This record gives sequence, structure tokens and C-alpha cells, in this order.
Amino acid sequence: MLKQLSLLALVLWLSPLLAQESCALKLSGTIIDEHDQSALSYASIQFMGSSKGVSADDKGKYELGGICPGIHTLIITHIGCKPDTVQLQINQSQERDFYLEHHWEELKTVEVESESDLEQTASTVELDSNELADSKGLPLGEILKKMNGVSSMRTGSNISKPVIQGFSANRIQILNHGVQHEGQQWGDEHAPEIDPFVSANYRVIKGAGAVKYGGGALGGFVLVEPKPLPTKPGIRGEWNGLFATNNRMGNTALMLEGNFKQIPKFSWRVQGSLKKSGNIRTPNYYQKNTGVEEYNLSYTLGYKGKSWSAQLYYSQFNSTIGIFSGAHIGNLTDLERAIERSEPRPQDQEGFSYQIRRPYQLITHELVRLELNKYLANGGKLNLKISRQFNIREEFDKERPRNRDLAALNIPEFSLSLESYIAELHWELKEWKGIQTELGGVLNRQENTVNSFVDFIPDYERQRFGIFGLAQKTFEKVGLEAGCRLDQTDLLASKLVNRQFEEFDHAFSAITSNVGASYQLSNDWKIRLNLSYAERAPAINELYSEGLHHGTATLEFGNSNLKKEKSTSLNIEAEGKWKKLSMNVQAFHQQINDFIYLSPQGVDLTIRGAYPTFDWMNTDALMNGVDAKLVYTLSSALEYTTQWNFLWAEDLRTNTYLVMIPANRTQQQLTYQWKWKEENEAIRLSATYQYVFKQNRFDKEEEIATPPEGYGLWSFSAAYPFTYGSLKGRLGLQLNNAFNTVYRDYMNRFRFYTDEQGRDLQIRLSIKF
Amino acid sequence: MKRFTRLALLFMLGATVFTACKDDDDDSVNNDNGGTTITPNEEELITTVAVIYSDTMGMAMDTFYFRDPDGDGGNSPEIDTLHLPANAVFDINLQFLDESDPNDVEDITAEIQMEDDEHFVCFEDQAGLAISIELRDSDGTYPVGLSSRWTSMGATQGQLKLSLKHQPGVKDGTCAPGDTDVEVDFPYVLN
Repeated sequence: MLKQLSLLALVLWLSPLLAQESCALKLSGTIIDEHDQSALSYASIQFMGSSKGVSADDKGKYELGGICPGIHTLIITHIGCKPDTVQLQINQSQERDFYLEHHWEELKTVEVESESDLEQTASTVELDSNELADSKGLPLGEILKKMNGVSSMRTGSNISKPVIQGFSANRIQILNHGVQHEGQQWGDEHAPEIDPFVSANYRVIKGAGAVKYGGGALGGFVLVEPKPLPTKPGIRGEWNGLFATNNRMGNTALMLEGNFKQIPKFSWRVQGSLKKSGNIRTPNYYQKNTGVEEYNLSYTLGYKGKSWSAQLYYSQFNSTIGIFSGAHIGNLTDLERAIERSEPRPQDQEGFSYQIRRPYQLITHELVRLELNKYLANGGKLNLKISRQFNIREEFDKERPRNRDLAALNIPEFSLSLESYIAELHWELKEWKGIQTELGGVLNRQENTVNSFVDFIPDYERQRFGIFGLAQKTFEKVGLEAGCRLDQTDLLASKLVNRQFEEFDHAFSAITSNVGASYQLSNDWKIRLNLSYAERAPAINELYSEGLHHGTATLEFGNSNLKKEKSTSLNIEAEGKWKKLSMNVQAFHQQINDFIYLSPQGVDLTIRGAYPTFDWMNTDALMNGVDAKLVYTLSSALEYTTQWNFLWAEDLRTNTYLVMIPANRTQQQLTYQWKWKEENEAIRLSATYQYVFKQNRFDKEEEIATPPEGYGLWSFSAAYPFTYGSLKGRLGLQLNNAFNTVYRDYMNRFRFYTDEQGRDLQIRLSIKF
Repeated sequence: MKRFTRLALLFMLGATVFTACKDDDDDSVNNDNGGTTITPNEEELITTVAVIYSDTMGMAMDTFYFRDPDGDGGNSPEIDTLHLPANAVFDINLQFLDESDPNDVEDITAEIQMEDDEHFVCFEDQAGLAISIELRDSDGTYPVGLSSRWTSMGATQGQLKLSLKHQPGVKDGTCAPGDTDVEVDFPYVLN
């Protein structure tokens, strides 16, 4: 109590001092033509709802002063362009370049550091620059988890998959550099194979409504976006380093990019990262065999002509992930014993080690993408993307075969290779009577090969053909949007039945459609409404999986008679501010008919004892949720953020609950910014408390064990931006699970075996040169 | 000229990475769809447990099976009832087989014997007192359990749980450590 009082006193004492420098922030930068990177001279930038604003100079440079901290809406215009808006959270003086797609004059053209897009009425979340900087080097699933309304499903501490609106795996789509990421995403223990250092920005679009990105993503879309290639001559770069104390993780990434004066239209970027971590430490013991090794590299080559541009992107992801040895079990008796134990057996707790032994996963993912943009004379634009992806996944069991000759070969017990090709064409049409239209089509071919005797899923070939169209019209205060998409999927599975391959053929068509509206209630308040209908064809594992799920001691069987899922959803979002309080509240309601889920079928007797058996079945499901974020600006330096996430899911046919639905959670954060010299960027300190409630909405028959208790975690972070000569840097400290709390999380598939990671101090250094 | 050298270098770097990766993929085993070939990485299955009874003179013999040749799921396993003499002393030997391919039955017992320091067979009489079991083989330090001598009490019936534990590096002569490779329940009748 005394501590809290003294903190309050400190805050009260500081606030008048801080108030003096309120409304003194500066925003400056350049307004640039997105298409040929030329400066847009005399473009104007002003605050919505006030006359405050400036014009850029002849080189497109602008400087806005006297800004109060908080969320601001800026209107950016250029001759011939309709005014457009960008929402920015400004807590410190900063430089920000805005890209305007000049050729696309009457369309929505402004976007901060990303490709141009029509405005979505679906709820979209992004990380701000500080959140991005504080999550550098984390796996993708853990980065996205920092977004409001996004959580994660994990297998141990190293494998993390994003969960959006309660959905994961087959029900969300990840677009990496504009290309649908294709790996073995059906698996709960298969994390997205993407180097998090490659991307400059992450966006999550909730719900299935964004038809241009794909069909059947009932949870939503994750967009992993790079920053634009440089256009100024010279070589620049960025170095990132991360060290974490808990598992002694070292993670480093280097990026170099440039443009040559002699060939200004050509730009390039090369990037690579290395990661090594050892055994994870829970508050009371180490988890044996939980190290990770990863090396990734990528390059981008770009060419921008007068009316066209081309970009080649290549990336390779290589990862070896140790699987906690204590999570390996032989049968249900072993699992029951593991659940009864309060901590893993001594043989599964060893001291610190970097060594990765069996069981482990070895994963390689490769992406090559060629993108062409053609700006049409009438104002339209064509965008063509051709890509190829390889995904090789090898899973090594804890024990090698008993036969010594076989054991010596060290062959993975489960091995899959996936090869997929995607060709996608988007056509943004010339505006007609104020209506903006985009049409597109995609061809996708995927071939999966099982290289091991264990064939949890079979070999298959999948062809998918999709077309979409969307239109948008913006009135004074109202924006309307409608979109429709049709996907036709042909699947040919070749499955081993009684030691013979048999072929099975499936064809599914799926419609995704979407209508939405946005309404600007006042300068400060906006409402978005989105209604969508989406169908999802069953995925390969739902149709044909067969076998034992390691780690959960359950037998899982696919069902080739599954019907496609049909979802109807409504999303409502309100965003705005009132005095010092700004807020964003999103609510969603989704009903899925023929929802595909694992239904318990009693026990099956095997030679290793009895196993609970699950079959993939159709049912009807209902998901309701609310994601709310409120920011209260206490002073120019002190900000309080509170976040609440609720999700209710149920099975309508059996009147029971669904499994693996994230529990409700809340997060409180206090952020303090301190500037000791006017010309410097502010030092940032924050304290965060997250509380995850116990998942009380569960059915005993469907769960392997009772969901764990709720837990609260404290974390603290500090960031120090600095300039040294021409170098710009940022030193960040992040202390997670500060009080070494012992807890287990319902969404972690290893919750039966071990406590979660204990205290971890992460030290980050980032240098731009 | 210099800039073109640089450029060329960059492209070459790209090309090497490209091909290296393609090769990688080609190396992986490809099984031909539609054919009947099974990849060299054949999994070691245990589908059958044979309990071989013999009297202490090695004269009378009988064999009882737990059989699940189609593996997990599919058809239910076939389980024999152990018909054993009451108030008698006799020997039991175990065999573990892979009968998933009827044309190529594999005996896994030899492999278990080769790694006897990593394996341990546990017997658990669910009723408790009807049979007492003495393990008669050894890996040098601890018993293994593939051969044992049983002493039965009066006429009764019950359930016997037989499990094969895989205990590499952690074997201590008890059933607790390691993972379970086999766990079957045999009904028995003593008369």
C-alpha cells in the first residue's frame, strides 16, 4: 500500500511538470507518390475537425507542430485527390512518411507504409511502433498475441499459433508478402513458418469478410507485410539483437537495403537472421529438450518503371525445435500419471542445455514470389503475383526404432513435403460514378507427399480456383462495401488402406460474401458494421487423418463424408474518443452450421491400452465475443490502457461447449514517457498486468483434464531510443512473468505436463544505419 | 562497371540459395501414388502379444494371443482367455510380433532381448492374490520379464495386465519409469 501511495505521489508531483510540455509534439516527414516514389510537392496535411494543418514544400516535406499526445486523425490531400484520412497514435515527436498512390487519384489512396487497399469495414488491428519494437525476435504467434482480440494456441513454449475470434489453424489465413502461406497449418503443433524479422508490419483483419485475401477464413486474416523498398540512393540497414535470460536465447538479424544512383529504378534488400535458445526454465525446474535453432534468409529485388513495377522476393526458413521430453507418453496410463504428477519426472528436468535431442521437429519453408504491377492509363491497376512454396516437415519421435540398423539411419518417424503454386491476378478498375471496384482470380495447386510410414494425413493433390469481386462507395459520412468470392476446390487423396493405396476424390465449392458500412458519427466517432456469409471446405486432416495424436494420447479419425462449414457473422466496431479517453470496442456474433469439430467417441482398445477416440464430425456452433480497448491519457506523459476480451462458444446441437476456446482475459497497462532533452525521443517505461480467467465453459467428457486455474502475470518494459552520429538505435528491456508465477494455460497443449516459462528478461538492441 | 559486378554478385547469391533448396527437396523420399511401395522407413509395430505356457518339465505347451493386426482403430483386437491350471507352478514365455503384413510376420522379441537393459515387462494381477510371478531372466542388473515362473492358487478367474515398458537409461527394476510400448489386459481362468 505504501508503495502504491508513493507511486501516486510521484505521479501527482510529476504531472504538472509534464503538463507543461503537452501539446508540443512534432510530426514531420515526406509525402511520397507510392508508385514512382517522387515527392508530392505542396500536398496538404491537416487534422480532422480543426483548421490546423500545413502544406508540404516543393520537395513534399511537411512539419506539423503543437500536437497533443493521443490518437489523431489526419487528412492528407494532393491536387486531384479526394481528401483521405489516416489515424495515428502520437505519443512522441516522430518522422512519418506518407505514401499516396498518385495514379489512383479518386480512390482511397493513403496508407501508412503499406500497399494501397480499399478501406475495410471489417475490424482491423495493428501493432503500434513501440509494440512492434518490443516484440522483435518473438515467434509470429507471440507477436500477434499482443493485438487486442488475438490470442495463441501453443504446444510448449516454442510452438505458437495465432487464434482470432476463437479460431485457429484451418480457419485463419496468413498472407506473407501478399501470398497465402501454405504449410501444414492443420496441425495444432505446427507453427507458421515465417521469419518474424522479415516484416515491418502485421495486420489482423477479423472475420471472413475480406474476400480479396481468400475464402473460408472464418477467424480472419493475418497480413505479414514488408516495408517498401528504398528509393533514395545509398546503402542502409538495420541490425537487431535479442538476448533472453530464461532460455539463454540469442537472436540476431541483419538487413541491408539500397538503391544505386546510376540505376535509380532498381532497389534491393537482403536480410537474414539466426536464433539459438536452450532449455526453458519454469519457476521450479528446467524443461528438458526445449531448445530451438533457427536460421532464415530472404532477399527482395524491385524495379519501378513509369507505369509498371516488378518485385522478386525469396525467403527461406529453417528451424529445429526441441519438443519437451516429458510430454512424450506411450499411452493413456502414462498420460494419466503425467497429469497426476505436480511436476515432470526427474529425468525430464535437467539443468540448462542447448542440446536438441529427440523428440524434435525439423522444418524448412521456402517462398519465391514474383509480383508485377501495371498502372493502366485510365487509372486502373493490374497486380499479378506468381509464387511457389516448399514446406518440408520432419518430426522425430523420442525413441528410435528398436531395430539397430533402422535406428542408425535416424529417419524421421513422420515426414511430409508440400509443394504449392499460386498465381493470382487483381484488377483495380477505373472509378465509375464514385464506385471503386476490384476484381480478381486465383489458381492454386498444392501437392502433399508423405515420406514416412506414419501417415497421419495421406498424400494428396489439391487444385483450387477462386474468383472475387468487390465494390465500395464513399459518401460524405457513409462508406459502403460489398464483396463476393467463389472458390472451387478439387482434392484427390491417395490413402493407404490395408497396405494398398486407394484414391479418393472430392470437389467442394465455397461462397464467401460480405456487405459492410461505416458511418462517421462525428469528428471523433466512427462505427463500422460488417455482415458476412462464408463457407469453408473441409481440410485434409478433417477428411482423412488417421492415427494417434502424440502428446494428448487420443486417436483421431477423419471423416470423408463431412459437409462444408457455413458461417454467418456480424461484426460491429465503434471507435472514437471523448475528452482524454479514446476507445475501440469490437463485438462479433458468428453462427456456423455444420461446424467441423472432433467429437468424442468413447475408447478404442489397442495393444498399448485403451485410448479415447475422436472422430471429425459436423455440428452447429455459435461464437460470440467482445474485444475492447480503452486508453486514458492521464497527462502528456502518462497513459493508462485497459483491454478486455470475452468469448463465448457453444455447440448448438448438443448444448455443450467447444474445446480449446481461449478463456476470457483482461490487461491493464500504465505507460510513462520521459524526455530529458527536447531533441531526444522519449524514454518509455511501462508496467503491464494481464489476468487470464479460468475457462469455466467446458464439458468434462470432452476434456482430457480440467482446465487450469486462472492466472495473473506482471511484466515491465523500458525502452531507450538514442542517436549516435548517423546511427539511430533503440535499447529495450522487457521483463516477463516478473514475479516468477507458477501457472498453466488452457491453450497450451502441454499443460498436462509442465508449468509455463518462469521469469524472463529480454534485452533488445536495434540499430539503424 | 562496378555496379554491374555488384549486381551480378547479388543475383548469383540468389541463384545458389535457390538451387540448394530445390536439391534438398529432390533428396526427400518420394513414394509413388497408386503403387503399393512402402517407404524404407517402415515403422516398427507390435500387433501381437503371445503368452506361451509350459509346465516346468517343458512338456505341455499352450499359446494365448492378444492380436490387433490392423493397428490402432479399425477392427477391435482379439484377446484369448488364459486357461491355466490352478494350484500349480508353470513357466510363461512372451513373444511380441508384428503381424501387420500376414506375408511377413516379424518377431520383435529378439530386438527387445538385444536391448534388454531398456525394456521391462510388468505383470499386474487385477484381483491381487491368485497368481504370484517370479521373473527369471536378467539384463545383467535387473530382470526383463520375457520369461517368468508363475505359481497359481485355487480355482478362480480374473484379469491380468501385462505391459512392456521402454525405459532407456532409467530402468530401475520397477514399472514406474519410461514410456509404455504395450499394455494389454488378459482375462484368465484358473481351474
